[in-house]
Amino acid sequence: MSDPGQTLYREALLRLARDRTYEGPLADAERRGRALNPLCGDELVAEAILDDHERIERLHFTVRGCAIAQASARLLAELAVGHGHAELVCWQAALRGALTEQGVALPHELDRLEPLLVLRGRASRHACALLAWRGVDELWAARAAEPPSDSSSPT
Amino acid sequence: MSRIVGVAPRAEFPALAANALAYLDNASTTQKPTRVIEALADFYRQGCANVGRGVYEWAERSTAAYERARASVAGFIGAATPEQVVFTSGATEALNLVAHGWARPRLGPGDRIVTTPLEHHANFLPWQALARETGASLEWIAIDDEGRLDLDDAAAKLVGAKLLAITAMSNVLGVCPPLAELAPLARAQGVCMVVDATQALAHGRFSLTEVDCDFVVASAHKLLGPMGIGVLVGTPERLAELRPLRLGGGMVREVGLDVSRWREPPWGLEGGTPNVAGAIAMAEAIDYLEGLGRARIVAHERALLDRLLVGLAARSEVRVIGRPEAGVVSICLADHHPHDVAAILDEAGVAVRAGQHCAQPLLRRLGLSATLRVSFAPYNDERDLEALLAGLDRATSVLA
Repeated sequence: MSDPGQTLYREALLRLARDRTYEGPLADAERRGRALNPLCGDELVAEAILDDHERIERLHFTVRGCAIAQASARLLAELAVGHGHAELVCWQAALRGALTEQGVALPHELDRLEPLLVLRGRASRHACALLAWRGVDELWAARAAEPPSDSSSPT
Repeated sequence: MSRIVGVAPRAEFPALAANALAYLDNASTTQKPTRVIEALADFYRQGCANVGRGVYEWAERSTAAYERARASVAGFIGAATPEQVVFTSGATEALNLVAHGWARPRLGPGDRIVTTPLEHHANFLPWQALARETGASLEWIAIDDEGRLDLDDAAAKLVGAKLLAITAMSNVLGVCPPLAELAPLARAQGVCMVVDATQALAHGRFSLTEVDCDFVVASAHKLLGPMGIGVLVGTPERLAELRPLRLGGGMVREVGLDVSRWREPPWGLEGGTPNVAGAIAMAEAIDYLEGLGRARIVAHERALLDRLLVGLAARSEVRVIGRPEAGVVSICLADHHPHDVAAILDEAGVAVRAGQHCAQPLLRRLGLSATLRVSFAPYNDERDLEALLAGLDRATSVLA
Protein backbone atom coordinates (compact mmCIF):
# COMPACT_ATOMS: atom_id res chain seq x y z
CA MET A 1 0.00 0.00 0.00
CA SER A 2 1.40 3.39 -0.94
CA ASP A 3 2.10 6.23 1.41
CA PRO A 4 -0.91 8.56 1.01
CA GLY A 5 1.55 11.47 0.74
CA GLN A 6 2.97 9.83 -2.38
CA THR A 7 -0.26 9.69 -4.30
CA LEU A 8 -0.01 10.20 -8.04
CA TYR A 9 -3.21 12.16 -8.03
CA ARG A 10 -2.11 15.35 -6.38
CA GLU A 11 -4.30 18.35 -6.90
CA ALA A 12 -1.73 20.11 -9.08
CA LEU A 13 -1.71 17.26 -11.54
CA LEU A 14 -5.47 16.84 -11.54
CA ARG A 15 -5.91 20.57 -12.14
CA LEU A 16 -3.69 20.31 -15.22
CA ALA A 17 -5.61 17.26 -16.44
CA ARG A 18 -8.91 19.13 -16.19
CA ASP A 19 -7.64 22.26 -17.97
CA ARG A 20 -8.97 22.16 -21.52
CA THR A 21 -7.19 25.28 -22.82
CA TYR A 22 -5.28 23.37 -25.47
CA GLU A 23 -7.78 20.58 -25.98
CA GLY A 24 -9.52 19.73 -29.23
CA PRO A 25 -8.97 20.15 -32.94
CA LEU A 26 -6.98 23.16 -34.10
CA ALA A 27 -8.52 25.04 -36.99
CA ASP A 28 -6.05 25.44 -39.87
CA ALA A 29 -3.62 22.93 -38.39
CA GLU A 30 -0.66 22.39 -40.72
CA ARG A 31 0.66 19.27 -39.08
CA ARG A 32 -0.96 16.38 -37.36
CA GLY A 33 0.57 13.51 -35.38
CA ARG A 34 -1.03 10.51 -33.71
CA ALA A 35 0.25 8.36 -30.87
CA LEU A 36 -1.18 5.20 -29.33
CA ASN A 37 -0.49 3.41 -26.09
CA PRO A 38 -1.05 -0.26 -26.84
CA LEU A 39 -1.12 -1.15 -23.15
CA CYS A 40 -4.34 0.70 -22.46
CA GLY A 41 -5.61 1.79 -25.86
CA ASP A 42 -5.08 5.48 -25.19
CA GLU A 43 -4.95 7.65 -28.26
CA LEU A 44 -3.76 11.19 -28.79
CA VAL A 45 -3.78 13.48 -31.79
CA ALA A 46 -1.45 16.48 -31.80
CA GLU A 47 -2.19 19.34 -34.19
CA ALA A 48 0.10 22.28 -34.78
CA ILE A 49 0.56 25.48 -36.67
CA LEU A 50 4.23 26.23 -37.36
CA ASP A 51 6.02 29.51 -38.03
CA ASP A 52 8.33 30.15 -40.96
CA HIS A 53 11.23 28.54 -39.10
CA GLU A 54 9.36 25.28 -38.45
CA ARG A 55 8.85 26.22 -34.83
CA ILE A 56 5.57 25.57 -33.10
CA GLU A 57 3.28 28.56 -33.08
CA ARG A 58 0.21 26.82 -31.66
CA LEU A 59 -0.25 23.27 -30.42
CA HIS A 60 -3.45 21.47 -29.52
CA PHE A 61 -4.14 17.93 -28.40
CA THR A 62 -7.16 15.68 -28.60
CA VAL A 63 -6.60 13.09 -25.92
CA ARG A 64 -8.50 9.93 -25.16
CA GLY A 65 -6.44 9.00 -22.16
CA CYS A 66 -5.80 9.03 -18.45
CA ALA A 67 -5.21 12.02 -16.20
CA ILE A 68 -1.45 11.66 -16.57
CA ALA A 69 -1.66 11.77 -20.36
CA GLN A 70 -4.03 14.75 -20.20
CA ALA A 71 -1.84 16.69 -17.77
CA SER A 72 1.32 15.97 -19.74
CA ALA A 73 -0.32 17.13 -22.97
CA ARG A 74 -1.49 20.32 -21.28
CA LEU A 75 2.04 21.08 -20.09
CA LEU A 76 3.62 20.34 -23.45
CA ALA A 77 1.11 22.47 -25.37
CA GLU A 78 2.30 25.52 -23.48
CA LEU A 79 5.96 24.58 -23.30
CA ALA A 80 6.44 23.81 -27.00
CA VAL A 81 5.44 27.21 -28.36
CA GLY A 82 8.40 28.88 -30.06
CA HIS A 83 10.44 25.71 -30.23
CA GLY A 84 11.36 23.33 -33.06
CA HIS A 85 11.71 19.59 -33.46
CA ALA A 86 15.35 19.24 -32.41
CA GLU A 87 14.79 21.09 -29.17
CA LEU A 88 11.73 19.06 -28.34
CA VAL A 89 13.61 15.83 -28.98
CA CYS A 90 16.27 16.94 -26.49
CA TRP A 91 13.66 17.90 -23.94
CA GLN A 92 11.87 14.59 -24.33
CA ALA A 93 15.15 12.80 -23.59
CA ALA A 94 15.62 15.00 -20.54
CA LEU A 95 12.13 14.18 -19.30
CA ARG A 96 12.70 10.46 -19.85
CA GLY A 97 15.95 10.71 -17.92
CA ALA A 98 14.32 12.57 -15.05
CA LEU A 99 11.53 10.00 -14.88
CA THR A 100 13.73 6.95 -14.98
CA GLU A 101 16.86 7.94 -13.13
CA GLN A 102 16.57 8.92 -9.52
CA GLY A 103 18.41 12.13 -8.81
CA VAL A 104 18.52 13.35 -12.40
CA ALA A 105 16.99 16.81 -12.34
CA LEU A 106 14.99 18.44 -15.07
CA PRO A 107 16.84 21.26 -16.85
CA HIS A 108 15.73 24.67 -15.69
CA GLU A 109 13.68 25.39 -18.81
CA LEU A 110 11.55 22.31 -18.06
CA ASP A 111 10.72 23.30 -14.48
CA ARG A 112 7.04 23.40 -15.24
CA LEU A 113 7.11 19.62 -15.90
CA GLU A 114 7.84 19.07 -12.22
CA PRO A 115 4.33 17.66 -11.47
CA LEU A 116 5.14 14.71 -13.75
CA LEU A 117 8.06 13.62 -11.59
CA VAL A 118 5.58 11.99 -9.24
CA LEU A 119 5.82 9.16 -11.79
CA ARG A 120 9.36 8.32 -10.75
CA GLY A 121 9.41 4.67 -9.72
CA ARG A 122 6.20 3.99 -11.63
CA ALA A 123 7.58 2.86 -14.97
CA SER A 124 4.24 1.48 -16.12
CA ARG A 125 2.90 5.06 -16.30
CA HIS A 126 5.81 6.67 -18.15
CA ALA A 127 4.19 5.87 -21.48
CA CYS A 128 1.18 7.93 -20.34
CA ALA A 129 3.38 10.95 -19.63
CA LEU A 130 5.25 10.55 -22.91
CA LEU A 131 2.20 10.01 -25.13
CA ALA A 132 1.90 13.72 -26.01
CA TRP A 133 5.61 13.91 -26.76
CA ARG A 134 5.32 10.95 -29.11
CA GLY A 135 2.38 12.64 -30.80
CA VAL A 136 4.49 15.75 -31.36
CA ASP A 137 7.29 13.60 -32.80
CA GLU A 138 4.78 12.43 -35.36
CA LEU A 139 4.02 16.00 -36.39
CA TRP A 140 7.33 16.05 -38.12
CA ALA A 141 7.21 12.46 -39.29
CA ALA A 142 3.86 12.75 -41.05
CA ARG A 143 3.56 16.11 -42.77
CA ALA A 144 -0.02 17.29 -42.72
CA ALA A 145 -1.18 13.72 -43.12
CA GLU A 146 -4.51 12.57 -41.85
CA PRO A 147 -4.08 10.27 -38.86
CA PRO A 148 -4.29 6.66 -39.98
CA SER A 149 -7.51 5.08 -38.88
CA ASP A 150 -7.96 1.54 -37.72
CA SER A 151 -11.59 1.33 -36.89
CA SER A 152 -12.12 -2.18 -38.19
CA SER A 153 -13.99 -4.15 -35.64
CA PRO A 154 -15.31 -7.67 -35.46
CA THR A 155 -19.05 -8.22 -35.46
CA MET B 1 -25.33 -12.60 5.60
CA SER B 2 -22.21 -14.68 6.32
CA ARG B 3 -18.79 -13.40 5.36
CA ILE B 4 -17.08 -15.07 2.43
CA VAL B 5 -13.75 -16.64 3.25
CA GLY B 6 -11.23 -18.01 0.77
CA VAL B 7 -11.34 -21.73 0.03
CA ALA B 8 -7.53 -21.55 -0.12
CA PRO B 9 -6.08 -20.05 3.09
CA ARG B 10 -3.99 -16.93 2.50
CA ALA B 11 -1.47 -18.34 4.96
CA GLU B 12 -0.57 -21.00 2.39
CA PHE B 13 0.52 -18.29 -0.07
CA PRO B 14 3.71 -16.63 1.18
CA ALA B 15 3.25 -13.46 -0.85
CA LEU B 16 -0.27 -12.96 0.47
CA ALA B 17 0.58 -13.96 4.04
CA ALA B 18 3.31 -11.31 4.12
CA ASN B 19 1.21 -8.59 2.55
CA ALA B 20 -2.21 -7.06 3.10
CA LEU B 21 -2.68 -6.49 -0.63
CA ALA B 22 -6.11 -7.35 -2.02
CA TYR B 23 -4.86 -9.18 -5.09
CA LEU B 24 -7.65 -9.17 -7.68
CA ASP B 25 -5.65 -9.52 -10.90
CA ASN B 26 -5.81 -13.29 -11.08
CA ALA B 27 -6.86 -13.37 -14.72
CA SER B 28 -3.40 -11.99 -15.42
CA THR B 29 -1.58 -14.38 -13.12
CA THR B 30 -2.16 -16.03 -9.77
CA GLN B 31 -0.11 -16.12 -6.59
CA LYS B 32 1.59 -19.42 -5.75
CA PRO B 33 1.10 -21.62 -2.68
CA THR B 34 4.14 -22.70 -0.67
CA ARG B 35 3.96 -26.28 -1.86
CA VAL B 36 4.21 -25.17 -5.52
CA ILE B 37 7.21 -22.97 -4.75
CA GLU B 38 8.78 -25.84 -2.83
CA ALA B 39 8.14 -28.32 -5.65
CA LEU B 40 9.92 -25.97 -8.02
CA ALA B 41 12.87 -25.51 -5.69
CA ASP B 42 13.04 -29.17 -4.67
CA PHE B 43 13.63 -30.28 -8.22
CA TYR B 44 16.91 -28.37 -8.18
CA ARG B 45 17.64 -28.76 -4.47
CA GLN B 46 17.49 -32.56 -4.55
CA GLY B 47 19.63 -33.00 -7.65
CA CYS B 48 18.23 -32.36 -11.09
CA ALA B 49 18.78 -34.39 -14.20
CA ASN B 50 17.50 -34.27 -17.73
CA VAL B 51 14.52 -36.40 -18.71
CA GLY B 52 14.40 -39.39 -21.04
CA ARG B 53 18.15 -39.59 -21.40
CA GLY B 54 20.24 -40.81 -18.43
CA VAL B 55 20.16 -44.22 -16.75
CA TYR B 56 21.31 -43.14 -13.29
CA GLU B 57 18.99 -42.67 -10.32
CA TRP B 58 18.52 -38.90 -10.56
CA ALA B 59 17.67 -39.16 -14.25
CA GLU B 60 15.18 -41.92 -13.56
CA ARG B 61 13.63 -39.81 -10.81
CA SER B 62 13.38 -36.73 -13.06
CA THR B 63 11.81 -38.69 -15.88
CA ALA B 64 9.32 -40.38 -13.59
CA ALA B 65 8.30 -37.04 -11.99
CA TYR B 66 7.95 -35.39 -15.40
CA GLU B 67 5.74 -38.18 -16.70
CA ARG B 68 3.69 -38.16 -13.50
CA ALA B 69 3.14 -34.45 -14.09
CA ARG B 70 1.89 -35.25 -17.58
CA ALA B 71 -0.58 -37.73 -16.13
CA SER B 72 -1.79 -35.17 -13.56
CA VAL B 73 -2.45 -32.59 -16.26
CA ALA B 74 -4.26 -35.18 -18.39
CA GLY B 75 -6.54 -36.05 -15.49
CA PHE B 76 -7.22 -32.40 -14.66
CA ILE B 77 -8.15 -31.46 -18.21
CA GLY B 78 -10.06 -34.65 -18.84
CA ALA B 79 -7.79 -36.23 -21.47
CA ALA B 80 -8.08 -39.99 -21.82
CA THR B 81 -4.34 -40.63 -21.71
CA PRO B 82 -1.20 -38.77 -20.55
CA GLU B 83 0.25 -39.12 -24.04
CA GLN B 84 -2.25 -36.53 -25.22
CA VAL B 85 -0.45 -33.85 -23.19
CA VAL B 86 2.43 -31.90 -24.78
CA PHE B 87 4.33 -29.58 -22.47
CA THR B 88 4.97 -26.11 -23.90
CA SER B 89 6.13 -22.80 -22.48
CA GLY B 90 2.49 -21.75 -22.13
CA ALA B 91 -0.77 -21.37 -24.00
CA THR B 92 0.74 -18.94 -26.49
CA GLU B 93 3.37 -21.41 -27.64
CA ALA B 94 0.76 -24.16 -27.72
CA LEU B 95 -1.51 -22.11 -30.00
CA ASN B 96 1.38 -21.23 -32.27
CA LEU B 97 2.29 -24.92 -32.42
CA VAL B 98 -1.19 -25.78 -33.68
CA ALA B 99 -1.22 -22.83 -36.09
CA HIS B 100 2.13 -23.57 -37.67
CA GLY B 101 2.49 -27.31 -37.01
CA TRP B 102 -1.01 -28.42 -37.93
CA ALA B 103 -2.97 -25.68 -39.71
CA ARG B 104 -0.38 -24.07 -41.97
CA PRO B 105 0.13 -27.10 -44.28
CA ARG B 106 -3.64 -27.56 -44.50
CA LEU B 107 -4.77 -24.03 -45.34
CA GLY B 108 -4.87 -22.25 -48.64
CA PRO B 109 -6.86 -19.63 -50.55
CA GLY B 110 -10.58 -20.13 -50.11
CA ASP B 111 -10.25 -21.92 -46.77
CA ARG B 112 -11.86 -20.35 -43.73
CA ILE B 113 -10.75 -19.98 -40.13
CA VAL B 114 -13.56 -19.12 -37.74
CA THR B 115 -13.01 -17.39 -34.41
CA THR B 116 -14.81 -15.01 -32.05
CA PRO B 117 -14.30 -11.41 -30.91
CA LEU B 118 -13.86 -12.76 -27.36
CA GLU B 119 -10.36 -14.09 -27.94
CA HIS B 120 -7.18 -13.11 -26.14
CA HIS B 121 -4.58 -11.92 -28.63
CA ALA B 122 -2.79 -15.27 -28.16
CA ASN B 123 -5.75 -17.00 -29.81
CA PHE B 124 -6.17 -14.38 -32.49
CA LEU B 125 -2.79 -13.21 -33.76
CA PRO B 126 -1.52 -16.64 -34.90
CA TRP B 127 -4.70 -17.14 -36.94
CA GLN B 128 -4.63 -13.63 -38.37
CA ALA B 129 -1.02 -14.10 -39.45
CA LEU B 130 -1.73 -17.54 -40.86
CA ALA B 131 -4.71 -16.28 -42.85
CA ARG B 132 -2.62 -13.54 -44.41
CA GLU B 133 0.18 -15.96 -45.17
CA THR B 134 -1.92 -18.73 -46.72
CA GLY B 135 -4.68 -16.72 -48.37
CA ALA B 136 -7.32 -18.25 -46.08
CA SER B 137 -9.99 -15.97 -44.67
CA LEU B 138 -10.64 -15.20 -41.02
CA GLU B 139 -14.26 -14.90 -39.93
CA TRP B 140 -15.84 -13.85 -36.64
CA ILE B 141 -18.86 -15.39 -34.99
CA ALA B 142 -21.13 -12.53 -33.99
CA ILE B 143 -21.60 -11.66 -30.32
CA ASP B 144 -24.14 -9.43 -28.64
CA ASP B 145 -23.28 -6.45 -26.45
CA GLU B 146 -22.91 -8.73 -23.43
CA GLY B 147 -20.43 -11.01 -25.14
CA ARG B 148 -22.81 -13.89 -25.82
CA LEU B 149 -22.25 -15.84 -29.03
CA ASP B 150 -24.87 -15.92 -31.74
CA LEU B 151 -25.23 -19.69 -32.13
CA ASP B 152 -27.11 -19.42 -35.42
CA ASP B 153 -24.25 -17.39 -36.82
CA ALA B 154 -21.79 -19.93 -35.45
CA ALA B 155 -23.64 -22.81 -37.09
CA ALA B 156 -23.71 -20.96 -40.42
CA LYS B 157 -20.04 -20.01 -40.31
CA LEU B 158 -18.87 -23.51 -39.39
CA VAL B 159 -20.26 -24.97 -42.61
CA GLY B 160 -17.25 -25.70 -44.78
CA ALA B 161 -14.78 -24.08 -42.36
CA LYS B 162 -11.39 -25.65 -41.69
CA LEU B 163 -10.76 -24.52 -38.12
CA LEU B 164 -12.56 -23.01 -35.15
CA ALA B 165 -10.41 -21.14 -32.60
CA ILE B 166 -12.42 -20.26 -29.52
CA THR B 167 -11.98 -19.44 -25.87
CA ALA B 168 -13.71 -21.36 -23.12
CA MET B 169 -14.00 -18.16 -21.08
CA SER B 170 -13.44 -14.52 -21.93
CA ASN B 171 -10.57 -12.99 -20.00
CA VAL B 172 -12.38 -9.63 -20.17
CA LEU B 173 -16.07 -10.30 -19.64
CA GLY B 174 -16.11 -13.57 -17.71
CA VAL B 175 -18.58 -15.08 -20.16
CA CYS B 176 -18.25 -18.73 -21.18
CA PRO B 177 -19.23 -19.61 -24.75
CA PRO B 178 -21.39 -22.75 -24.96
CA LEU B 179 -18.62 -25.06 -26.16
CA ALA B 180 -20.57 -28.23 -25.43
CA GLU B 181 -23.13 -27.05 -28.00
CA LEU B 182 -20.54 -25.86 -30.51
CA ALA B 183 -18.34 -28.97 -30.43
CA PRO B 184 -20.90 -31.30 -32.12
CA LEU B 185 -21.48 -28.68 -34.81
CA ALA B 186 -17.75 -28.48 -35.47
CA ARG B 187 -17.39 -32.26 -35.39
CA ALA B 188 -20.27 -32.73 -37.83
CA GLN B 189 -18.63 -30.32 -40.26
CA GLY B 190 -15.15 -31.83 -39.87
CA VAL B 191 -13.89 -28.52 -38.45
CA CYS B 192 -10.79 -28.72 -36.28
CA MET B 193 -11.80 -27.14 -32.96
CA VAL B 194 -9.08 -25.42 -30.94
CA VAL B 195 -10.05 -24.31 -27.42
CA ASP B 196 -8.17 -21.79 -25.32
CA ALA B 197 -8.98 -23.01 -21.81
CA THR B 198 -6.43 -20.79 -20.09
CA GLN B 199 -8.97 -18.77 -18.12
CA ALA B 200 -11.69 -21.37 -17.86
CA LEU B 201 -9.58 -24.03 -16.15
CA ALA B 202 -8.65 -21.61 -13.39
CA HIS B 203 -12.34 -21.13 -12.67
CA GLY B 204 -13.35 -24.80 -12.89
CA ARG B 205 -15.11 -24.18 -16.18
CA PHE B 206 -13.65 -26.65 -18.65
CA SER B 207 -13.18 -30.39 -19.08
CA LEU B 208 -12.52 -32.48 -22.16
CA THR B 209 -15.03 -34.94 -20.77
CA GLU B 210 -17.72 -32.36 -21.59
CA VAL B 211 -16.31 -30.78 -24.77
CA ASP B 212 -15.27 -33.03 -27.64
CA CYS B 213 -12.69 -30.84 -29.34
CA ASP B 214 -9.42 -31.43 -31.18
CA PHE B 215 -6.94 -29.27 -29.29
CA VAL B 216 -6.94 -27.50 -25.92
CA VAL B 217 -4.31 -25.13 -24.55
CA ALA B 218 -3.59 -23.86 -21.04
CA SER B 219 -0.96 -22.06 -18.98
CA ALA B 220 0.07 -23.09 -15.47
CA HIS B 221 0.54 -19.62 -14.06
CA LYS B 222 -3.20 -18.89 -14.16
CA LEU B 223 -3.73 -22.07 -12.07
CA LEU B 224 -1.54 -21.23 -9.07
CA GLY B 225 1.39 -22.79 -10.93
CA PRO B 226 4.66 -21.33 -12.19
CA MET B 227 5.21 -19.11 -15.21
CA GLY B 228 6.86 -20.51 -18.33
CA ILE B 229 5.00 -23.82 -18.49
CA GLY B 230 1.76 -24.81 -20.16
CA VAL B 231 0.26 -27.52 -22.31
CA LEU B 232 -1.20 -28.43 -25.62
CA VAL B 233 -3.65 -31.31 -25.29
CA GLY B 234 -4.87 -32.97 -28.46
CA THR B 235 -6.68 -36.04 -29.69
CA PRO B 236 -4.23 -38.80 -30.64
CA GLU B 237 -5.23 -38.42 -34.29
CA ARG B 238 -4.56 -34.67 -34.37
CA LEU B 239 -1.30 -34.95 -32.44
CA ALA B 240 -0.09 -37.54 -34.93
CA GLU B 241 -0.75 -35.03 -37.73
CA LEU B 242 1.11 -32.23 -35.93
CA ARG B 243 4.49 -31.30 -37.36
CA PRO B 244 7.10 -30.53 -34.68
CA LEU B 245 8.37 -26.95 -34.73
CA ARG B 246 11.21 -27.35 -32.23
CA LEU B 247 13.74 -29.80 -33.57
CA GLY B 248 16.57 -30.92 -31.32
CA GLY B 249 17.54 -33.28 -28.56
CA GLY B 250 15.16 -35.69 -26.93
CA MET B 251 12.56 -35.81 -29.69
CA VAL B 252 14.29 -38.05 -32.20
CA ARG B 253 13.90 -41.71 -33.03
CA GLU B 254 16.71 -41.82 -35.55
CA VAL B 255 18.96 -39.15 -37.02
CA GLY B 256 20.50 -39.80 -40.41
CA LEU B 257 22.71 -37.58 -42.53
CA ASP B 258 19.88 -36.98 -44.99
CA VAL B 259 16.69 -37.88 -43.21
CA SER B 260 15.65 -38.11 -39.59
CA ARG B 261 12.61 -39.51 -37.82
CA TRP B 262 10.84 -38.24 -34.74
CA ARG B 263 9.48 -39.98 -31.70
CA GLU B 264 5.73 -40.32 -31.39
CA PRO B 265 3.72 -37.59 -29.64
CA PRO B 266 3.97 -36.09 -27.15
CA TRP B 267 7.76 -36.59 -26.89
CA GLY B 268 8.37 -35.94 -30.58
CA LEU B 269 6.84 -32.49 -30.12
CA GLU B 270 9.04 -31.50 -27.16
CA GLY B 271 12.44 -30.92 -28.75
CA GLY B 272 15.21 -29.75 -26.42
CA THR B 273 15.37 -29.91 -22.66
CA PRO B 274 11.86 -29.30 -21.36
CA ASN B 275 10.91 -27.17 -18.35
CA VAL B 276 10.93 -30.16 -16.03
CA ALA B 277 10.74 -28.19 -12.79
CA GLY B 278 7.87 -26.17 -14.23
CA ALA B 279 5.96 -29.29 -15.24
CA ILE B 280 6.41 -30.82 -11.78
CA ALA B 281 5.30 -27.58 -10.09
CA MET B 282 2.33 -27.33 -12.46
CA ALA B 283 1.26 -30.79 -11.36
CA GLU B 284 1.66 -29.73 -7.73
CA ALA B 285 -0.62 -26.73 -8.36
CA ILE B 286 -3.18 -28.99 -10.02
CA ASP B 287 -3.02 -31.37 -7.08
CA TYR B 288 -3.58 -28.40 -4.76
CA LEU B 289 -6.60 -27.25 -6.78
CA GLU B 290 -8.01 -30.77 -6.92
CA GLY B 291 -7.61 -30.90 -3.15
CA LEU B 292 -9.68 -27.75 -2.80
CA GLY B 293 -12.32 -29.33 -5.02
CA ARG B 294 -13.68 -27.99 -8.26
CA ALA B 295 -17.23 -27.67 -6.89
CA ARG B 296 -16.01 -25.64 -3.90
CA ILE B 297 -13.92 -23.37 -6.12
CA VAL B 298 -16.89 -22.69 -8.39
CA ALA B 299 -19.28 -22.09 -5.45
CA HIS B 300 -16.81 -19.76 -3.70
CA GLU B 301 -16.30 -17.77 -6.86
CA ARG B 302 -20.05 -17.54 -7.44
CA ALA B 303 -20.51 -16.18 -3.93
CA LEU B 304 -17.77 -13.58 -4.47
CA LEU B 305 -19.20 -12.64 -7.83
CA ASP B 306 -22.75 -12.21 -6.49
CA ARG B 307 -21.52 -10.13 -3.56
CA LEU B 308 -19.37 -7.98 -5.82
CA LEU B 309 -22.21 -7.36 -8.27
CA VAL B 310 -24.46 -6.26 -5.40
CA GLY B 311 -21.77 -3.85 -4.19
CA LEU B 312 -21.23 -2.47 -7.66
CA ALA B 313 -24.95 -2.07 -8.31
CA ALA B 314 -25.17 0.16 -5.24
CA ARG B 315 -22.77 2.61 -6.89
CA SER B 316 -24.46 4.56 -9.64
CA GLU B 317 -21.15 5.62 -11.17
CA VAL B 318 -20.15 1.99 -11.84
CA ARG B 319 -21.07 0.23 -15.06
CA VAL B 320 -20.52 -3.53 -15.31
CA ILE B 321 -19.61 -4.57 -18.84
CA GLY B 322 -21.69 -7.53 -19.98
CA ARG B 323 -23.03 -10.20 -17.68
CA PRO B 324 -20.16 -12.16 -16.12
CA GLU B 325 -20.78 -15.86 -15.46
CA ALA B 326 -17.51 -16.55 -13.63
CA GLY B 327 -14.95 -14.65 -11.60
CA VAL B 328 -13.79 -12.11 -14.16
CA VAL B 329 -15.61 -8.77 -14.14
CA SER B 330 -14.94 -5.70 -16.27
CA ILE B 331 -16.23 -2.35 -15.12
CA CYS B 332 -16.06 1.34 -15.96
CA LEU B 333 -16.23 4.01 -13.26
CA ALA B 334 -18.14 7.00 -14.65
CA ASP B 335 -15.97 8.38 -17.45
CA HIS B 336 -12.79 8.10 -15.44
CA HIS B 337 -9.90 6.47 -17.18
CA PRO B 338 -9.38 2.88 -15.91
CA HIS B 339 -5.65 3.51 -15.46
CA ASP B 340 -6.37 6.41 -13.13
CA VAL B 341 -8.82 4.31 -11.15
CA ALA B 342 -6.40 1.37 -11.00
CA ALA B 343 -3.59 3.64 -9.80
CA ILE B 344 -5.80 4.99 -6.99
CA LEU B 345 -6.81 1.43 -6.09
CA ASP B 346 -3.12 0.51 -5.97
CA GLU B 347 -2.58 3.32 -3.49
CA ALA B 348 -5.40 1.78 -1.44
CA GLY B 349 -3.75 -1.65 -1.49
CA VAL B 350 -5.88 -3.21 -4.22
CA ALA B 351 -4.34 -4.76 -7.33
CA VAL B 352 -6.56 -4.91 -10.41
CA ARG B 353 -5.86 -4.72 -14.12
CA ALA B 354 -6.73 -1.73 -16.27
CA GLY B 355 -6.44 -1.53 -20.02
CA GLN B 356 -7.35 -3.67 -22.97
CA HIS B 357 -6.42 -7.04 -21.46
CA CYS B 358 -4.78 -8.32 -24.68
CA ALA B 359 -8.22 -8.23 -26.31
CA GLN B 360 -8.30 -5.16 -28.54
CA PRO B 361 -10.81 -6.59 -31.06
CA LEU B 362 -13.30 -7.26 -28.24
CA LEU B 363 -12.97 -3.81 -26.72
CA ARG B 364 -13.37 -2.23 -30.14
CA ARG B 365 -16.48 -4.35 -30.74
CA LEU B 366 -17.91 -3.14 -27.43
CA GLY B 367 -17.01 0.49 -28.20
CA LEU B 368 -14.62 0.74 -25.25
CA SER B 369 -11.04 1.92 -25.13
CA ALA B 370 -10.24 0.23 -21.82
CA THR B 371 -11.84 -1.32 -18.75
CA LEU B 372 -10.99 -2.01 -15.15
CA ARG B 373 -10.91 -5.76 -14.58
CA VAL B 374 -11.43 -7.58 -11.30
CA SER B 375 -10.67 -11.30 -11.23
CA PHE B 376 -10.83 -13.91 -8.48
CA ALA B 377 -8.82 -16.87 -7.27
CA PRO B 378 -9.56 -19.37 -4.49
CA TYR B 379 -7.73 -17.25 -1.86
CA ASN B 380 -9.87 -14.12 -2.35
CA ASP B 381 -12.32 -13.27 0.39
CA GLU B 382 -14.82 -10.67 1.50
CA ARG B 383 -12.10 -8.34 2.78
CA ASP B 384 -10.74 -8.11 -0.74
CA LEU B 385 -14.16 -7.05 -1.99
CA GLU B 386 -14.50 -4.48 0.78
CA ALA B 387 -11.10 -3.03 -0.03
CA LEU B 388 -12.03 -2.86 -3.70
CA LEU B 389 -15.36 -1.13 -3.11
CA ALA B 390 -13.82 1.35 -0.67
CA GLY B 391 -11.08 2.02 -3.23
CA LEU B 392 -13.65 2.68 -5.95
CA ASP B 393 -15.38 5.18 -3.65
CA ARG B 394 -12.07 6.88 -3.06
CA ALA B 395 -11.34 7.01 -6.80
CA THR B 396 -14.75 8.59 -7.39
CA SER B 397 -13.99 11.23 -4.83
CA VAL B 398 -10.43 11.97 -6.03
CA LEU B 399 -11.26 12.07 -9.72
CA ALA B 400 -14.56 13.93 -9.43
